[in-house]
Amino acid sequence: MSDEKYTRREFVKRMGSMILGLVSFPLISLADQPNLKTKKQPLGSSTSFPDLVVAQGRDPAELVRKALQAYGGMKRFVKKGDVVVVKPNIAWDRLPAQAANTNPDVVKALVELAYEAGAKKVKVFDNTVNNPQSCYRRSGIMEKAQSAGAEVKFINPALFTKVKFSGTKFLTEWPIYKEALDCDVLINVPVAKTHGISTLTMALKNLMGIIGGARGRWHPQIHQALADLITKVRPQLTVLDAYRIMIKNGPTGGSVKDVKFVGKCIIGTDQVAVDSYGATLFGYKPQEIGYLRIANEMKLGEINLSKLHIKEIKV
Amino acid sequence: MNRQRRFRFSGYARRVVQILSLIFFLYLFLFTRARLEGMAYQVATPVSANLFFRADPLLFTAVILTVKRFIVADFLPMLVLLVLIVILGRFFCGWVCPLGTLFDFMPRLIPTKKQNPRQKPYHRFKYYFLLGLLLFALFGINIIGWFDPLAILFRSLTNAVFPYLDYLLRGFIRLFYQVPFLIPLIEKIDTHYYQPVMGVQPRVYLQGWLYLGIFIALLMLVMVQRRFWCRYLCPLGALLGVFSRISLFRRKVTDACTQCGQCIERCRMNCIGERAEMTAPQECIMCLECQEICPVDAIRFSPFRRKTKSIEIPIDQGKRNLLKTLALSLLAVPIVRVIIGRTESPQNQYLLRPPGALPEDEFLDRCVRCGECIRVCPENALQPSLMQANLEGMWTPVLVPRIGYCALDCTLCGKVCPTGAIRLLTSAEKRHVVIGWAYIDRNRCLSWLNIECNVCEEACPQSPKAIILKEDIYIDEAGKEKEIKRPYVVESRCIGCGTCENKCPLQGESAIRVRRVPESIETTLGYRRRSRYRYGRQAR
Repeated sequence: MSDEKYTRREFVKRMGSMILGLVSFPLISLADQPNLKTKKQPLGSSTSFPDLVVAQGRDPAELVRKALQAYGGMKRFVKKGDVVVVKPNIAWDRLPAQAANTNPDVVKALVELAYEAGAKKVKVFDNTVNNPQSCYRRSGIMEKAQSAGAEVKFINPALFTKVKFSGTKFLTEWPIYKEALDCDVLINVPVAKTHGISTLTMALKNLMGIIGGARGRWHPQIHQALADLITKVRPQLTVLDAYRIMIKNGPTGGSVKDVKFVGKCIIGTDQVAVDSYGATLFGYKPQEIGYLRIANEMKLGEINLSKLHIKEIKV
Repeated sequence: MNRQRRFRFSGYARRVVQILSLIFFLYLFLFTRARLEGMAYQVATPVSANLFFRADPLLFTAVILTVKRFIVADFLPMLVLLVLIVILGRFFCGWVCPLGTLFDFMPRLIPTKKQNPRQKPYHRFKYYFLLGLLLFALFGINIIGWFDPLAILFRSLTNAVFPYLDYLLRGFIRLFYQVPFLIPLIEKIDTHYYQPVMGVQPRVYLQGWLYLGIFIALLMLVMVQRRFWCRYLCPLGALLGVFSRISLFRRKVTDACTQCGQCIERCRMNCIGERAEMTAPQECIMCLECQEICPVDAIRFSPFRRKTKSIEIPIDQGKRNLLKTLALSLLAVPIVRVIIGRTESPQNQYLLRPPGALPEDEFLDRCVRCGECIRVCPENALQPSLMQANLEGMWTPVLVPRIGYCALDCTLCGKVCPTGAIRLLTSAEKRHVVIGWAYIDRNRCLSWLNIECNVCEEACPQSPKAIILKEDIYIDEAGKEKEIKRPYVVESRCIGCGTCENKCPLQGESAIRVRRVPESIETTLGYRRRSRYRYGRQAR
């Protein structure tokens, strides 16, 4: 027998801490498991709804509401009790009128629509380039989205999870934000801008806001990388904010002189098709944009606008 | 019995005021940060963030002596303080100074010598020290900020204490994130309470270790004697001591005194002479402790002389030491200058000052190294220099783009600067104030090594962009001609905000670095215009 004499209190303490330790370790590993829910998303045309809806008008929030109405309503995508992620572009420390970030009213309208459709929780976030606090606040998105009841949080570096890619040329494995993968519905809400490296930044480029790691390494092969990314990340809905578009000095801009008023909102389930329409706003053919051409070659979406059923509405 | 109660009350009152003052200082410190509501960069404090520094007569005197011109100033708090000093004596040290409060608190944590030494020849050292510092200022070297107690405390809080606590608390938060059932709770605390106050990303300061060392060493000095710093070293205390020579309220001793010597032993400033009625008014910080502990209730603090006796101890017995100090300082100033050597423009081409900083020589005249700008910078871009700006510029703010860039619309450093060393800019002005220029190192830049990168161009916040892309043609390994976009800096647009240097994806040193604008160009461009810079602006 051992010489040590345990008091009861000491015994309980030691057993308690041992049990706690044993119990908490598996929990830690649980918390780290990536929980991939890549839902299949219908590609191409469906019978009852148009492929794209393009709304034009003067009120950004109304544009989204009317466009979505014509597209079958938010209920088509969001079921009761769903967790919805609205992913706008909040990358830059810029004011709304400078149009470097998604229009805050568009984001707010989407959050409201999601809740109206019965969503349990709507999250809004972006992996910013500039200081996250400055971006969230000065873009006006934090305030507007929170007023609609969304949960607006800064990116937590602990929540990136490594995702393996297959059948891709550039990406093999890359950290992606877990909350964007774990949700029931992902709504991508980019703003249309020019971009020095990728020519234009819209839906596909906006998805760089849910990836982590050294994002700068994508730049040498940005077009291939973006096409690779959407083999795994398929938002159920893409809403392209073209209320104001940035026609030069993108993606940062910084002056209202860089911005052109278009007053459009393009929505669709095929993100490549949405971008293809967006390219025409800048006078480009979709084939001229590298990542769209590659995505089309990889059969990830349609870039031939004449093949698509596009419904245009005035608001 | 009624009297006794009043005594205890005075002790309480002092402690309450001390704690409130410390809390107020910490509050101002904590809220000296950007608030972005309303989409404009503002200081988060509802009152002026630099209030303590604008109330500091030492900094003001030194700056005036260095600049040699009376400065238009917003120094109302300082006037109020001086008036109070003339009435109440050196009460600031005993009742208000947050560093003094920390010194008073330290004996509760670490063992200290309770008994005062009978000999007290070293008190006068701080007056010589003050004289020396002011002479330095008069001869153009403003290093007062190294020794000002408020600046020391603010710097230590910014560079060492805040990051220390932040790391500790974040550690706990990270830990709790690992426990599944705690996640909703900790997430709420993190996003709603922690991040708004402490920031989303942890702060990085290059010299945290140094400040932590200095701060701890200062606090440890109480092991030698209580209030060691205040007794022998503090130049602010010395200046206030000189003023309190003419103060109204004095320590008075009545005939009831039995010479028991308790007050002599316990006095935290050791300012009572061999007999209980001998007081050095310039040393007394009006803490009222002697009144509290006196067993026969023989001590009064009052402006009246009725029925009391008191002998005042002068600052120094003879004039010889004063003359010696003067002579030594006068000799020392040129020696320091010979060693340091200040040139019109600094030799370090990577020495970047905050936006709106005065030309380097004027900046050094004014900067009191309080650390307000370093604390408020929302991007963590400003850092205290060690040797980047020479010995003379130690602890002045420098912009280190690799750690943080200068946000385009932010003008907070100019807003909180108490001495006008950094001009207050408008957002529109700010876009044209040149901090430096970016230079691309074509030997290291990926795009110039034929790997298209151009992150710098993407991130450049200027409109139109100061980094532009041009189509170049290079020949690859197979000998084929290929097109590539490469970045070029347009100097006329670049203001040196450092976003490009910050975002460059290379490991270690960036392939695009901001340097000082060459002096000759600086003058030809004409933005070295001198305007009237105000001392002691109110920061909102």
